Amino acid sequence: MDFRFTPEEEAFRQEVRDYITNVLPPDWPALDPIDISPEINDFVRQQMKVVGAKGWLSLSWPKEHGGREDPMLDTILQDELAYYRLPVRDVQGVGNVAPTLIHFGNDEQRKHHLPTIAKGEILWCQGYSEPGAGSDLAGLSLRAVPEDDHFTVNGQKTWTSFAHQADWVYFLARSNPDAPRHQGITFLLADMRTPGISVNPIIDITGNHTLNETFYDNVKVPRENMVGELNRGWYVAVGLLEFERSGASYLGASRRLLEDLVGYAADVGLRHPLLRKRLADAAVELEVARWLSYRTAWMHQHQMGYSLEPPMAKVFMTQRAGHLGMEVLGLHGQLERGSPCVPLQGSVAFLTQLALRETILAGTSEIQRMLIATRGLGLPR
Amino acid sequence: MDLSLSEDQEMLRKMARDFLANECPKTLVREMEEDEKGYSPELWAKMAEQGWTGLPFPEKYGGVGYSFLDLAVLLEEMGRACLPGPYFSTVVLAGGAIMEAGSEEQKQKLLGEISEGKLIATLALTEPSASYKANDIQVTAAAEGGGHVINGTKLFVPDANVADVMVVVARTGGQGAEGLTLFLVDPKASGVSITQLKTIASDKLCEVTFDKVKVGQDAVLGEVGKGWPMVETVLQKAAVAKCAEMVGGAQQVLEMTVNYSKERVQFGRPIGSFQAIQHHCANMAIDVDGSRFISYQAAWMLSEGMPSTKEVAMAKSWTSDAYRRLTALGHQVHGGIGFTKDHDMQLYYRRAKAAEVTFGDGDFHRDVVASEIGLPDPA
Repeated sequence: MDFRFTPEEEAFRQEVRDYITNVLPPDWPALDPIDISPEINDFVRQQMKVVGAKGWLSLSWPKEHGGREDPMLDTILQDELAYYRLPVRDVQGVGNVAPTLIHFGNDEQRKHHLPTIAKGEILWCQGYSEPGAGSDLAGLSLRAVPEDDHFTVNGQKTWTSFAHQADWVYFLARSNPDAPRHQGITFLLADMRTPGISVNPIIDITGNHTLNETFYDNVKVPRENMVGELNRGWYVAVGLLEFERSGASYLGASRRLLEDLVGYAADVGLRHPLLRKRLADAAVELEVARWLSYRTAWMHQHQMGYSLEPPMAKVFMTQRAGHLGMEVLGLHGQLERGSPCVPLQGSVAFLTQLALRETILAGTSEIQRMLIATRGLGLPR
Repeated sequence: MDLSLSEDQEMLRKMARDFLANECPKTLVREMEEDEKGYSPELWAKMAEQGWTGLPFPEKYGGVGYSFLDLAVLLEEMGRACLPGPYFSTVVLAGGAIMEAGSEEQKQKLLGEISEGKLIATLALTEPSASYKANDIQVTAAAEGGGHVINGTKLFVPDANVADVMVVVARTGGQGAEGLTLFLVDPKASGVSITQLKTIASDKLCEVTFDKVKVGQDAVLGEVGKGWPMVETVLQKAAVAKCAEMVGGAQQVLEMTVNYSKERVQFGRPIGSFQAIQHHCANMAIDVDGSRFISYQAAWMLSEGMPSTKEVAMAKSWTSDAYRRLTALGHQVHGGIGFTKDHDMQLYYRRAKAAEVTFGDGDFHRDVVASEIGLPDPA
């Protein structure tokens, strides 16, 4: 056993930190910065290209596709970006679309999309959930009728994060309504500018606009945008789910929150034994989560398969952030960004609300536990 | 980064698992709970033949020369099997203290005898205050005629009833961590009396009283007045060693529970198909893995001689609580049957509760973590 990172990994982490601290504006919001202002969005899009040029958006890809085949570095990158709250690694494009195309796409699709993802030029969004299909995703009903050289798509998706900013969408559609439900779904890609796609904002509890409804009205999707086989899209999506859950971004965000809170406690001189206990508790949980996350990366690095590992890290990471901040800050914890007297730039009030989302997004904690139990431990369905 | 065991460690684990499956069935575990001595001398001899009693000691002292991490692998299997007896007391506690503090001659003799399986030993540290802090050591050893006279009471001393020698932590002067000395004391010496306690884990914890117990100059382990740093090192290793045992027990409880929930049918279905049961099992799996990595990280750091105060405290605070949570969930899934004396679940639950409070409970270690991460001292 060896619980150390290699010197190369440590050096990479430092390189990432140096890059971020050099480039981050001094007034960078101490919380999830998406959609606070157009200037910040522009900055993020511009920095996506910078990190793309460094080769950091294709770290875990196979070398034949221009990657470095190093999931550990990718995990370190996610950890650090989340710590500094600089979201320049497109979760959908880098995290989901690229590995899906590498595993299930064809050469044309890879040639078309991998370079733009690697360069940070294109932002992707995910069209999975529908008003009638959330946790039970296989119940989706957005229709894609296969025609000669295209599909005609009609229906609605919802909870589409960043659909209003994204350039492309990957989505699941019902291509054969008569087949058993897992066997009538096709995995498609579409340019968000395709006529017939429209986006309607959903404002979340924090007041932010990241979520959307997406409508498809007689949208023509070319046949070459189908990933995998016709009616086999469910299996592409299931394969993809395993890439979505290493939990490293939760790790960095939690580490930052904890450091901020410990710093606050030290500055203000909070000495209450119960508070010490809670913060220590969080530090221990974070250490456990750190190993669950990096273990996932390590297993990926050694191609050891996943079974129950990926969901575990996420269940773990998402349980904590909700209440700790307010417990430490007390009355001050309710102050939001921009308020007079607000500590830690209002990150606590923000995260307290955001935490509600984190146990739901990308598979609720309950679905995660079901996956651990059935896929990991082999319990019957 | 390498989160897997080495080939040798895998082999040790497999050998230990097979050996204990044969030699330490639950019938023996139950028998030893009722037994006066609490261990099987035949099994002890076989363990010594396997090299286990000398596992972490250098070869020059008759040991096998394995690392502390290797020892953790073995202890995990012992925890899985609920191995009864004085292995932990002899090898981890007394053996650890002798390694840290003993003179060359003491190490040669005592570690050699332990390795051969001829010597059972223990550490007499805690007192009626039930504290692991130096401040609370009140047993005294007064210098007299070139030797010392020991007075006072030690409590929760494991396996003193069968020990051939005890390492006794006593105050030779000073306050706090200053002036504490380690003594080698024969449990049969005049003035020593040993009373077995009745414990939740049915292990053999004892009250040991010292009434003007005279020991010679050669009884001092290490230097007079310099014993506490050695004890601290032993306690760090003991806490992590206990974590390794708990990880083994936790893994076994998870496996028992998952198997049971696949077999047990209610409402016409295996209960493992119900989400309530699935979520319990998922939570247990998270706790097993969490405990495993945080414990092995600490074991690895200790093995490498790295400073690890924070990581040790993290490991014990987490694993203490996780093992408790997990055994409780295991019971919930097993329903009534797990609550019976005939079922193995209760063996683990009782040991989890004992392990939770031994070498510092969750709160004790969280307090260490709080200071290590830079929080101000408590009010």
